[in-house]
Amino acid sequence: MLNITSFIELMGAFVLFFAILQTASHRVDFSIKVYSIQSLFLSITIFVMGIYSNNAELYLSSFLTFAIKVIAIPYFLNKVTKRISIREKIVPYINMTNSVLITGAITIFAFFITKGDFASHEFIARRVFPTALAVILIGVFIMIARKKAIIQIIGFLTLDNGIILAATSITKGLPLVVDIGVFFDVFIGAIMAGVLIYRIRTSFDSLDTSKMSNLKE
Amino acid sequence: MLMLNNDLLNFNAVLIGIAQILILILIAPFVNSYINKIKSILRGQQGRPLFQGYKDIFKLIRKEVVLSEDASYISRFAPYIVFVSILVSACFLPVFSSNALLSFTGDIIALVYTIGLGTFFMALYGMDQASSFGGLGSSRDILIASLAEPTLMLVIFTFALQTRTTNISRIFIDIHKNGFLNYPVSYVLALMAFLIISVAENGRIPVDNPDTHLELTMVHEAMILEGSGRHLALFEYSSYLKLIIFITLASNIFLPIGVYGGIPHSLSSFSFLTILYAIAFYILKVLIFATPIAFIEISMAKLRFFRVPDFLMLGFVLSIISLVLYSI
Amino acid sequence: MAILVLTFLIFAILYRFINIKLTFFIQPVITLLILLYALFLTGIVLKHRIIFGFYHLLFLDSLNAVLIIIIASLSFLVAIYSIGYFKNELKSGLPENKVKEYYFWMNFFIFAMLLLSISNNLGILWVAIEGTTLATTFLISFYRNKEAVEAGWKYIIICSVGIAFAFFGIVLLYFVSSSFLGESLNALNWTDIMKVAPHLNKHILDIAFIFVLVGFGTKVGFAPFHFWLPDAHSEAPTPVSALMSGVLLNCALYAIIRIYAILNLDGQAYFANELLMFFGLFTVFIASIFIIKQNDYKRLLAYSSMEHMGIIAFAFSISTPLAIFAAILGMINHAFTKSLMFFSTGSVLSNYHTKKISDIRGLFKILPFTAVFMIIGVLAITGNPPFSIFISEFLTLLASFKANHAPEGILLLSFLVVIFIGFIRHFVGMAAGEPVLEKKKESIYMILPMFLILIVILTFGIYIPEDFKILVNNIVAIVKGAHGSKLQ
Repeated sequence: MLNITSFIELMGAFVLFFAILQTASHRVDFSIKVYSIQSLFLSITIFVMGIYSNNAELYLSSFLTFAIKVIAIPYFLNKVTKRISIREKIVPYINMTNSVLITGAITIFAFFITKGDFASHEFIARRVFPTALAVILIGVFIMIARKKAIIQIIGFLTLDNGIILAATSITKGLPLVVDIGVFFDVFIGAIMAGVLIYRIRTSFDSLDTSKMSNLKE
Repeated sequence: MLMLNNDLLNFNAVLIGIAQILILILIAPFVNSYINKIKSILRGQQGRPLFQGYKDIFKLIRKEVVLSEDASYISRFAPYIVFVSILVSACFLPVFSSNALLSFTGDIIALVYTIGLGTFFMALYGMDQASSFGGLGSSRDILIASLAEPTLMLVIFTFALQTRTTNISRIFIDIHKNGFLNYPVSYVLALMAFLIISVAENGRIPVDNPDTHLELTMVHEAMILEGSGRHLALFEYSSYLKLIIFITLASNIFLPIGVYGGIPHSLSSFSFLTILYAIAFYILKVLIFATPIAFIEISMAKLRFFRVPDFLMLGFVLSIISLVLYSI
Repeated sequence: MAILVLTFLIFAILYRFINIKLTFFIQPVITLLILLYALFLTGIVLKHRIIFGFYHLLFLDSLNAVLIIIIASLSFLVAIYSIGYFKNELKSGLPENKVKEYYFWMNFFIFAMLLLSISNNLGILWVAIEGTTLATTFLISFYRNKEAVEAGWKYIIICSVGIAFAFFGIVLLYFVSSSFLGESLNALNWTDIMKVAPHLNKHILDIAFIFVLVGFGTKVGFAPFHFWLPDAHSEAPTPVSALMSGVLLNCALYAIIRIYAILNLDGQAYFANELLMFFGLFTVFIASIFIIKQNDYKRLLAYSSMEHMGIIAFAFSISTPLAIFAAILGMINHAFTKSLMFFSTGSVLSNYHTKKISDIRGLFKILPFTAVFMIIGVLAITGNPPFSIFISEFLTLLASFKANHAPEGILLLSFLVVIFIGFIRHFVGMAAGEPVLEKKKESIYMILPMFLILIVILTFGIYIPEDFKILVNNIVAIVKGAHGSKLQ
């Protein structure tokens, strides 16, 4: 009853669930935890996809996801959070209830637009693609709807997870060289954004990006 | 429906139905203690013994009931009504076989609202004693229940839509036969929505904390703060039963494996061993579903009360997505 | 070819350990050598049309040959200018460590740009573009004041998201190409994709192009994704602004054009053309509005960069040989002219310590050489003869009229007039008037690159070398998609 494609879809669905949960998060440490678990499911998805398509490169990719996104980045973000002692509340432009409602609409929208166009193509796990698209859009939404700089990073990382999920679902994984490059870039990007957060904190005395209004026109 | 009506006449079906209720009643305190035990172990404590739940109930039954002077007749009746309504809803529920005791009269919606009757009387009881805590608990509980209910219905509708019936037995049989994994995204989101609802309805962390008697955090405990003796025993037992009903629902919907459909209906093929096997399997599934609750309880802090609607909104949205994704 | 790329990576790390004074003088030498090497490679490309390196992951054809020449020559000019600029900064109390940091990220930046321009593999190209984002983030927030940090934050967030979308586009591209080329690294090689381009699913290609256009377009500064651009250009140290505006924008546009070429086989990219034309015109329009009401000369230059990118995109979208010729010329001209502008205004900034146009008066009397170069730059950038931008803009308009895009051409022309007025109004005000400061000494290192640029733009304005024409003809073939079929 539980064949391997539905298992991939199931894991993809968990990635989506944690993206939705991300929008309901009130606290920075909880957001980081959710991101970490989401990445864990992503790494499982990639691993199973490796078994399915018999592609050894995906095992490595799965391992990299685990090492970088489940352990390294959350560890680093936690460290940043502690160091600048953010008061751990997330300040939203759009409140939680509305955010979650909008997220729901986004998810349905993502499934709806991919219904006709992509269904005719041979994807390994056809339904993972709309799931991934939903995760991508939710990532963008988090970046727009939250004021705290660190949550905007998490939004970006969620978006990135969605893209990796999409890439794995429709292409059986990118070439290894590219994959490693992408992981490296995301990792460095997260670290640099973290350093910038530290500087924002020291020069603005807050992580609220809505206070950044010195540059206009 | 006809088949089920015939089953009514079947003595064995009735026996199985009664056995199901008895099993629910029997394991309900155990599951509660089991969750507590896991929590304790995860915290590095030894924890209460696994049969503490039964001992508590017996202890309470032996004690006398003390009622406040302001209490009306409602306080005298409410505990029984609560217990009976939970028990009746348990009768609608197919546990390890597809024939529930009352499956000919009730469907899944009846189950939900019979539980609702219990919630209502418990709230009345909370207010009836004229203690400030009771009223506070009642108002909070009703708020949670009213927010949780639509989500629960939506989750149920997702399954009703798939099986095209609201009869619980039919839904369960269909799910056990076809599986729900044709729609993995719907499945996951419905599962999570159901988890949220179960947590909210049963007063667990992060909505309510069943272990404390701190006035700021109490919901369920505040309502029965004035209860004593066998009244309290009934309330406690009702809450154990309510939890096991939700877990049973979850385990039969979300983990549709086992010998569910294989339970024979007629005397000729009646097999005691099959039933034992089904019961063992059922208990295993219950324990599987009870474990995450313990993990959630120790890994999360209780939400402040004004955050609870957000939490329930999350469940609501998840269930809507689940329903819509199923239909498109 | 690997030498080309690796040099900068090695030096980026090496500079950490070298004395700062030595660094000042090694950098121009290295970049000059690289420039010569790039010219040498271009000579080979002229003969052989295309050369490969490093397991076909790197390649050089006429299109990216032009790009590496731009990168190398501007790096050289910036290297010279940096000497003067940072000597000034060191005098006014900038710690030496910061200068070392600058050289590290600068070289890393140049490394990433070179990698992206000669990479044959679209995946690696993407990685390199993201690399440029990371390298420039710290350069933008170099001064660590409120504005700089804000600009850096906006930059990394907006560009990362944009680039993530571009990645999605590349994934889609890989998805369509891998059904012909197999699931391997080759399926992302541009030259290999071009071989099978006619068979690819047009519909998904169009969707991929939308993502790539939006993604890399963010980096190019197409409106409405341009919000980071003026901030970043105005807050970064002047040499960085020059390099970003002159080269980085071109690099990102180059990435779009590579993907565009896949769609454009046999000139079939109607949809892509329309998109490019829309973004081009819209960007010029937005830029013209902001230029008129601007009171910050570095931001004004940033908007002018947007304007030129818009014009170049517009030229590409017309897609006739003449228009592509104009676009390539425009890329080169804009790179040099805009650097001239940034260099001259950078000198103004390091003397006046304000970016407000209204605070600056009497430049002719305070910094005579700089003021002359600045006014020349203004005339050049707004498209006056005999400077080279006049040629490229004129050709763009001509091509649009010839290709039945007259209404769009007229629209563009009217925007250009508005921009011209804006520029003249702001900069003449700065140059003329009574001086508010004493006369300052001008560093030779800051004047020299401006002079070199002047020679280049005047030359290109009057005479276009024969070799360059051959290169551009090859590029026309590449962008029109004929390249792939000839390879076979």
